Amino acid sequence: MKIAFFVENLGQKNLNWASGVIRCLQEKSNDINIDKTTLFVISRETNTESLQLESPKNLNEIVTMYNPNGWGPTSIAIALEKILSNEGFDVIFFPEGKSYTWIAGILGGRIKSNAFTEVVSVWVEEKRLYIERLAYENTILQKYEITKRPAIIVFKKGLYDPEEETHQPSVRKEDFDIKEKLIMEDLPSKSQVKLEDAEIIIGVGNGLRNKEDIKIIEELARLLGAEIGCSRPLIEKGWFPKDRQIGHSGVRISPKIYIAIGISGAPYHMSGVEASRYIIAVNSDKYSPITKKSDIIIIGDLYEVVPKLSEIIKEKIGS
Amino acid sequence: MKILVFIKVIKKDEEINESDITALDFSYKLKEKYDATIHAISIIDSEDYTSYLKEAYVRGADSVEAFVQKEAETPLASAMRIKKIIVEKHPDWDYIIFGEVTSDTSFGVVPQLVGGLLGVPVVHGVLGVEFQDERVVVETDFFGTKKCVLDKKTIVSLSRDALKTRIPGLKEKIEAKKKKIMIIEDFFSEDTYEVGARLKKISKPRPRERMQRMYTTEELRQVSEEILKLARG
Repeated sequence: MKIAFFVENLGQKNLNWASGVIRCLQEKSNDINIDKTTLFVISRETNTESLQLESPKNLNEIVTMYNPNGWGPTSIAIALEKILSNEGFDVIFFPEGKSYTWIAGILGGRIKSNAFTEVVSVWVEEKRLYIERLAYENTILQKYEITKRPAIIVFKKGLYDPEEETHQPSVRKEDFDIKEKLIMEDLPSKSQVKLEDAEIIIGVGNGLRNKEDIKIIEELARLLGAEIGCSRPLIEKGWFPKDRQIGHSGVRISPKIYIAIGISGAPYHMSGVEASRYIIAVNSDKYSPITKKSDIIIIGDLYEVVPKLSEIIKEKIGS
Repeated sequence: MKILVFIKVIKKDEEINESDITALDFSYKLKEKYDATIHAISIIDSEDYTSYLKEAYVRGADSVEAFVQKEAETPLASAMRIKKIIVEKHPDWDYIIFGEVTSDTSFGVVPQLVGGLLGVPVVHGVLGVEFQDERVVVETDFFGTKKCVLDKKTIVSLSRDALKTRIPGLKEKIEAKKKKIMIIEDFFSEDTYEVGARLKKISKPRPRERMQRMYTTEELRQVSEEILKLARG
C-alpha cells in the first residue's frame, strides 16, 4: 500500500500527525503491507533538495511541491491529482482543518473519489479499506468501506501518538506550473501565532462580562506562554478577530493544554477542542457540559479563580 | 443574475440547516443588489419534509424545488446528484451557494466536490462579506485570512457566522404560505445512493476518557502545580 499525506508546512505537529495515522493503520489492520509513506508539502522556495530534517521513522519520504505561480486550493488539488495518478498512491490523508477540507473536496470531485472528513480511525481488513468517522454533532460513528481508490481522507489530529524513533527521511522536489483559478489576497492577520500551532491555549467564553476583563486572561496567558482564543459569542460581540474563534466553524485546535474559561461546552465548540491532550475548565457551574469533557475542572467564579491562579503561578515561576 | 442555493432539511430539528439559512440570506443580499433570481433546491427523502422548505420563500427565494429520492450515503453521491441538477436543469447559473456544513452528516465537503466535478472555482467557508459598488468581496481562511472578489460561475459555501441572520417581515411569511414547492420525483434514475464507498455500520462513539478531576477555589495551589507539570511534561 502506498500512502500519501499532504500538509502545508513541516512543523512537528504535522509530522507527528502523519506518523500517528500510519501507526493507526498498522495497529488496526489485520492484513497490510505498507510499501511507501510520502509526505507532500507546498513550498515557496525553489531549492529544497538540500532540506534536512528529523521525522518519525515511519515517514519514508518528504516531497516539496513548488509552483512559480503560487498555490491556491485548485492548483494544489490539480497537482495532487497528477501525483496520485503518476505515483500510484492508494490513499492520501489530509489533517483536519478548513483549508485542507477545501483542497480534499476539490480533489475528490476532480478524480471522482469521496473525500471523507471527521475521520477518527482507518484500517485494512481482507484487503479492504475502512474508516470510521464522526457525524451528527459527534454523537454517532459511521463505518464506511471505501471502494474507490485512491481514497481521500481528512483525519483528525491528536488521536494517535507518533512513532518515537526518528530518522532523516529522503527529500525530493516536484515542480509544477499551474495557474490558480481563484485569486486571493492575504489579509494581515491580527494575531502573531496561529492557534493551530499553539501548544497551550486559553479559550474565553460568555462567562467574561466585559471586554476590558480580557486583561486578566492575558496575564495568565503571559505566564503560561499561552495563546488566547474564544468561543463564538465573543466574536459576535467584536471582542476578538475571527481567526481566534475556536470551534467547529472556527479553528480546530490540538494543543497540549486547553484551558476553557467561562465556556459552557456547547457541542460546536467542543468539536473544535477535543483533540487537545488535556482540557482544563474554569466554570462556576459544576453541571455545565464542559465538565464531562475535561481533565481538570475548577469550580468557581473566573473573576476569583483566574487572578489567584496567575498569582500562584507567578510565585512559582517568577514574573 | 441567477443564483442557485442548495439547502438541506435537518430531520431531527425539523428545520433548514443553520448555515444554509446564512446561504439564503447571502443570496437575498445579492438579489437586492444585483436584481438576481434565487432558486432554492433541496434533495429530500420524503415529501413529508417539504413544508420546512417554505422557509426558503420567506427568505427571498423565487422558486423552491424539492427532489424526492432516498438519501445519499456518501458525499460524492450527494455531489453527483447536485451536479446532475445543475447541468440538466440550471446550466445558466451565475452563482451556486451552499452552507459550509450540515449539522447531521457533517461531511462539509459537498460544495467542493461539486466544484471539482464541474471544474469551477470554489470559495469555501466564507467568514465575512462586503459589497463594494459592483463587486462582492468575501473573507475566508486558506492557511491564513484571505479576501477575494467573487466572480461569476463560482461556487460559494458560507460559514453560519458569515452574516447576521436576517429577520424576515410578517408580509414575507404570509406571502410564503401561498407559494408552492415544486416536487420532482425519480430524477436520479441510476443508483446514486452510495458512490465510491459503502456505509456499513452506525454506532455510538467511544468518548475520549478524560480524568474529570474536580477542584474548588481553595485548591488552586494544587491545580497550579498540575498545570505546570502538564505544561512541562
